[in-house]
Amino acid sequence: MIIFSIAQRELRNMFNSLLAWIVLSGISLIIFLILVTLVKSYVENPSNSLAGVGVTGTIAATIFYFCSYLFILISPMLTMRSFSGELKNKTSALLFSAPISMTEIVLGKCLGLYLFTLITAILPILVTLSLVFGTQLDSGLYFSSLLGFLLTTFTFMTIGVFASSLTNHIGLSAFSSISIILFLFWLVELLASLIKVDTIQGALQYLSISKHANPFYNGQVNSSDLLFFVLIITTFIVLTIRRLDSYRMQH
Amino acid sequence: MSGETLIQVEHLYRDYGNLHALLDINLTLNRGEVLGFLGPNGAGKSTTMQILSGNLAATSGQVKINGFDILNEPRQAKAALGFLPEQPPLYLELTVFEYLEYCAKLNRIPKADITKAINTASERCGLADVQKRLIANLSKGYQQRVGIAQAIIHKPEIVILDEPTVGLDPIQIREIRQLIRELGNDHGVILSTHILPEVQSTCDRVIIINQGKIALEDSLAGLDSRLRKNVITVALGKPPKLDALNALNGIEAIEQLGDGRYQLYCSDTFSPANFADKAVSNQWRLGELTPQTSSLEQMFIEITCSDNNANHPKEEVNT
Repeated sequence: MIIFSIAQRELRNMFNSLLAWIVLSGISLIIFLILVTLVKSYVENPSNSLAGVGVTGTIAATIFYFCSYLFILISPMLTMRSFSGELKNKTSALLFSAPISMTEIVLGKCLGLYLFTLITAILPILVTLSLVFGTQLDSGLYFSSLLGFLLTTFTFMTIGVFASSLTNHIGLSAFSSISIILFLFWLVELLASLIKVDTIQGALQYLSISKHANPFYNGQVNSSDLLFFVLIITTFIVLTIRRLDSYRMQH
Repeated sequence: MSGETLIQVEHLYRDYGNLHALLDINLTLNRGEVLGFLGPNGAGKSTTMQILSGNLAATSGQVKINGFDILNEPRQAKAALGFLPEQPPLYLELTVFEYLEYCAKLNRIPKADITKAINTASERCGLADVQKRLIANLSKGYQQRVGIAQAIIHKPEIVILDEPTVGLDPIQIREIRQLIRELGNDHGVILSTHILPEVQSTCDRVIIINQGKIALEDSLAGLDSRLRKNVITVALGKPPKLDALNALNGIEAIEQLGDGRYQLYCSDTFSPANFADKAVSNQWRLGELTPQTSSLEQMFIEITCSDNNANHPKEEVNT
């Protein structure tokens, strides 16, 4: 109940500011351009598409895949104010002196951002569903790539919330979340390829978000990948709670 | 005053690195009482209030709110608490109604009672006419009232207000003080301020805090009697010898101010009327007889400016 109230506040806060509308219109423009390009190249030369994935794989999954990349840039902008703004404007006192636990506060904030992600997901969903008028969609592949997109963006959002709990400086908060996201999405794999020690290499490879996200866009839903996303989201939620609890200690 | 204890603070310490912001603070707040928390800037007022409201953790010591420990049972403790920080925690992009609605939800007011709670709180704080306006567009005085409304919306047993009248005009200050007095009837109120008349006009009891320590704790009545120090200034045209003055009944010490003016420090047995009679019969040519009452301000300055309060060792330890 309280969690939903906080989530609702977070969501409405987003739509009260210009940011959400700019993000939504920006995304829809980009998706439209990608769709036109992809459809055009598919129609002109269907044999160029990857073998066996068909129109769903070349167009729908690609759009979701591309959208998850967009969120590397978008999610820090959406989450940077989450706690930084409250700490900066001292509105955090309202939350901290209310009879609610830190866990409820953090879950509420995250839920609000997940709901916003779902709203943004409506755009690529509508765009890709429009293909139904011309062809038949592979529903398995379609839903697995949608799931991959959602899990990846939820992870980015949670990382962003954590980063915003680190500082009351909004710019710094955005920079930290983009750094953590880039590191976990992509840089860990580079690092893994440099280190030749098996155990460390294995651990670093396991941490890579993109490695766990990619199978979803090929229609594979592995329980180990699902578990990875549950783990990484939980980890960042717990880190945020601990960080805010310790904020009372040092201040 | 029913006297039920609402806040109990024992041996509270708070360090910021090597800086000791609070040193062994002990205090209690009873129902139906307005406690004034007085001190210069940086004395530890806000730190104490933030600890009481659960926004800051103490280095050591115990805080019990309505019988619940703020660290071990935060939910029950915070449910009994309304807090207005130094800077009111307002979302400027919301209307007053939306903001108070959110505060009501955060304080777990049942959905059916929310509208009623908002109306009651905004009526008490004089916000009924501005419910639909954006907080950002309100004047500072109204914003402060929204901050107070937020603190009392869930009818908490305890209301903690950190410098509630800062930045308000004199009329608003009077209204807010009136409101605080009203709150004091059925809630327990802690009010921090560095405005001295505020204490005299609103509080039942005063704690003066300085350099992280409680320098003085007394009821307002006790404070008044402390202020009525028996010091009298006299001017005599033909002053007698000092010994003759000293020999008068009830005079403990005399300070010469020059030009025949004296400061007499008297005990309770001293009577100004007798002194006047004596001056006339001895032809000392009495020109002035002025009783001095020290103001709260003087007392405040004496307490807070003296180094470690060494000058007033007896008065301060009064906990």
